[in-house]
Amino acid sequence: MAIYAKITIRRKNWEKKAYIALLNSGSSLKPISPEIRILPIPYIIIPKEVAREFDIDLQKLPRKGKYYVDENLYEVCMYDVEENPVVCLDIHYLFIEEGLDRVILPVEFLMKAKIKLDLETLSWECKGKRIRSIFEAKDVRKIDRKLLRYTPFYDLV
Amino acid sequence: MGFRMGKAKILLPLTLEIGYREVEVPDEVLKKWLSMLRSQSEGKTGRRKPT
Repeated sequence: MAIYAKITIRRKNWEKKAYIALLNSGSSLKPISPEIRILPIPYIIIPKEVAREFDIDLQKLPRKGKYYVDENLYEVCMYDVEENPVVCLDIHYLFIEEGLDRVILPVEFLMKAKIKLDLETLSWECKGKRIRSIFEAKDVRKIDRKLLRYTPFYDLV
Repeated sequence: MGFRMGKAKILLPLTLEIGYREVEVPDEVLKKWLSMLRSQSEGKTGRRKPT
């Protein structure tokens, strides 16, 4: 397993919804040119099922390849294993990927939130705190199944 | 992936998780971003004091 953390997503004037997300340094926007390799615009990538929870109508969204883009204001918070918020970011874009089976925090989000990944200990660092991947710190069988509804680990429990 | 024990071969339920992806941005969104970044960059340049 890689590094996962509990997050919440809150659309403006909506209640927040909790998920477990993969912190993925292997996901980023396609480089536009050799000079513009990283665009400093934070976003997250979600499955279609999560988009449905926010009443997003995919047919009305701009699309390229397997990605739809929802342009709205969302607050995304990351939590430690004791469920305390560590960092929150306002983002203006949700990317919805066809066939995706988990929520992904890509490079641009991790950069903006100033997250460091430590693969030796399977943990992430932010604001001087080191937080272990939720699946390393907690027994997956004791994690609320509702939280795991869009995480492939659900199949193993 | 598996171990050979005598003549029996036991397969382990391993799943390879490949997380690499390059996210494609729709043209209309990309144009908006580039325009926004350009204006931010010009704003910063414009505020710089002459040396």
